[in-house]
Amino acid sequence: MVPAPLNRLDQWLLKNYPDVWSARTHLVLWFMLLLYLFIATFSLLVSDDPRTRSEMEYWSFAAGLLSFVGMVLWFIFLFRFNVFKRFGNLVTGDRLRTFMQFYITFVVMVAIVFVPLWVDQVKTKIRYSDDEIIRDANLMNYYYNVAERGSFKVISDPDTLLLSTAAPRELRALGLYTYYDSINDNYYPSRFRMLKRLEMENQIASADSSRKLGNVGYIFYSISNLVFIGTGRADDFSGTYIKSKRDLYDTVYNRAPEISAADALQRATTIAAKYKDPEDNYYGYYSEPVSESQAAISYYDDPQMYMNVMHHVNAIDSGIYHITSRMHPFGVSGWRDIMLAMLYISLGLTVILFGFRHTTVRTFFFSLLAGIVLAIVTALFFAMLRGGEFTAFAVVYLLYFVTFFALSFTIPYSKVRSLVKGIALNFTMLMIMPVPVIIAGMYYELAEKHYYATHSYEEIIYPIFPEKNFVMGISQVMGAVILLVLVTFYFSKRYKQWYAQPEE
Amino acid sequence: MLQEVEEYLRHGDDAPGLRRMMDLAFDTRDPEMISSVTRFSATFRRRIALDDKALWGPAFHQGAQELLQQLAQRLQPGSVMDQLLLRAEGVTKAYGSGHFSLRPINLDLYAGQLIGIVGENGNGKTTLLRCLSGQLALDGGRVHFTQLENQEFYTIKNRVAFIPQRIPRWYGRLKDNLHFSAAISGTTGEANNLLVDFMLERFGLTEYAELNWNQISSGYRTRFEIARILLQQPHVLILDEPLANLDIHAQQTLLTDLRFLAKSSVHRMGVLLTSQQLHEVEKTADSVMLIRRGECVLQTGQSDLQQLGNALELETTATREMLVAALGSINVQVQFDGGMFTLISHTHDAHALLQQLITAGIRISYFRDITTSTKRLF
Repeated sequence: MVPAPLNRLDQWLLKNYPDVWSARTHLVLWFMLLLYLFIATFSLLVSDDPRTRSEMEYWSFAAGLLSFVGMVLWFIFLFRFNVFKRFGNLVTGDRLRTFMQFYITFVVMVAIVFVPLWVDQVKTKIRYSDDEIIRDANLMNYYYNVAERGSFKVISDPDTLLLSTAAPRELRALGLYTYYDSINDNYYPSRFRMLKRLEMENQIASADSSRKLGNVGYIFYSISNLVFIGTGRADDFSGTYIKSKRDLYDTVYNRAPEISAADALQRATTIAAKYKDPEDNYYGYYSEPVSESQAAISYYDDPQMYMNVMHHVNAIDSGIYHITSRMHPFGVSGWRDIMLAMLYISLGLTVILFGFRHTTVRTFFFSLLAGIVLAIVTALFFAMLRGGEFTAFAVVYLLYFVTFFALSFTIPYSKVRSLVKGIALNFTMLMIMPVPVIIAGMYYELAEKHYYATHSYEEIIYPIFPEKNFVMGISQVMGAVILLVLVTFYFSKRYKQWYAQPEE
Repeated sequence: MLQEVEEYLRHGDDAPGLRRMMDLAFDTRDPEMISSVTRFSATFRRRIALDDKALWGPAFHQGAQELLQQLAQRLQPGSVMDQLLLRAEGVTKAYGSGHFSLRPINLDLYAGQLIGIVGENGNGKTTLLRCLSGQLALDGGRVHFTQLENQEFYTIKNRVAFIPQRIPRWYGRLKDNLHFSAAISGTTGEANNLLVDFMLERFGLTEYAELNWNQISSGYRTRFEIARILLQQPHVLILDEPLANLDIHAQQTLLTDLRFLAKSSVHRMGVLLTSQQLHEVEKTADSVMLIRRGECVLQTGQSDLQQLGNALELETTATREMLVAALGSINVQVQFDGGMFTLISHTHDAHALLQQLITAGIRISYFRDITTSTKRLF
């Protein structure tokens, strides 16, 4: 299964770069490429209607299992040759290269779980586009509303929000004063409710439609739900948007529609066929369409339910959701978060493998055991203190880290290879990366506490520290950079010193 | 050196002659020469194994002579100054259980020197080797590798090879392991191919190159391990009971090979080995140390065993009384250990004792002058 050029590369690496060769990255990448192609081909050929719920998670799971088996085989091969444990020639930078080889290999192995999702995404994107889905959803909503105009009750209630800083004269000019307080000699709006700033902002953000009243306030419109068909995740990835209830109300109910109800229904049905989930049998408590008269009686006040039982719109909505979920399996920030998680998982695995390759088997497994014991002891400590604050956790974490780091620092002064110092070295490496994030997190938690303690409720301005997300992001990057720098200049040297030391 | 090879060839000792010629070719460090001698060996190895001189005789000797001429032109005189490689001073080690301790031991190992360490089981030979190779921490004393600027253990272990009695299992093809060993010591590219092919041929492993651990015998594993270690070009080679898995012929071959390799004119090594094969070790080693209950009780060359009298070990069908009678007036102490007699005399050397016995008609099937042998102290 290994082509001749790769065999030649393998032999060339063995004879020229044994450290690179012994990591077997080139062979793992080759076999992973074959596995990627196999999984991709399988995912491509498997018959799967994009309007139905995706089954690709199962294929992802299967791909992950295959990759795991490959990982175990890789570990077995890693046992065989190790330049470090044979005290071979190593120079500065070799350990970093090995670390990066392990990291790349892990990333490729972990990332295979995304292959079925990627293939599904490509397949679906060939058939549908976000703009097309939004356009069709808007058309279907329009046509269905036209087709069923008058079949259900439609309401449009305005709700006014006034800004407390508005000048009374402006309010009076808008005719919004309806109540005169003779004691205070002042006019007040008839319906008055105090809103917190955040609540007001949420209301503005989530309003179906609104109208701004100069500098005085806003009018929100509460309209019956006329958007029967949503756009799933397409809205987030397109320059066009789904038309609101207000838009539909204005175009269908505030003026005469441009086409007849029969035409509208025919057009809506034609478009709906592209999206209707064939596996969705839900007709609003029924498993099949009900008569118009029955629906009119039962669901006159509930347009959404009426449309479900009459036109099975929830199947269209569901189909669109499935299609857009396949097109964007992790949403807007999902990919970034998933990728970040994958990179972190790979990095954690790399650190563990690196530790395993540079310590004795006994020390490695004692490190695992010590990690479990330490986690239990720490959890018990926090449970007894009833402390849940991040700062407390951070202090304990930093305390552990400093202790392990100090122990690892004394390795050159040992006469024997100490189990405790080996464990400390493994922990130092495992714990170093989150240190900057933990310090930054601790700083912001303390700073926020101080801010709340020194500011009144009205003085608080959100976000309190606008730069916080940026600093936390930079801290993560710094953690990775510090780890790599220390792998090159500190850990490689310490592991060499520790591993070569004589036994007791 | 060349005369030594010619001597072998002249007397029909082709196999050792060929091995020695290979060592000389290796000493030239000339890739062309190494390649030529490797090919030459590959051509004749199988024929020599058949032990039918008619198959290879004239062609082999003609080829060997041509190679010897080339060697004569390319061999550079090596350094005659043997440098001190390792100095152990007052090395002590005790185990936690307290029933064994290594007493202060001093040892100097020079480049080109082969020191054998002998002693009964459980007397501290392996412990001493492990202390010297940096495997075990010392309780007292120091071990200094005089040729290493950096005395860090990683550097020491990079240059000091230790082959334990139980050779650690390796994985994959034998040849890949050799390529790997050469490469991690800085022998890369074509030089790597050249040296691995040479070592395979030199240790008779060519036919086993594609095999793995399970497919070769323990004797070949030992040979492989030595080839592997030599590819790492150590300054000091430490072997714990390397003869344990070898037949008598292979034992002798290995010891001679080690001696040759240690005394290479280009890359002289210091070799330390332990063994129970006292006779073979004494024949080959420059010096022999006897360890008893953790203490060095004797080191040949430094201790005068002669003062204990001359000693002759012999095997015969004659009885003690017959021996005493045959020796007549010579003042001799006759000891019998159940298998062999030992004759000790302060007035007559082994040669004179032997002559007297033969003159008296005693039939002797085996004898050995053990006057300066550590065997006397066993």
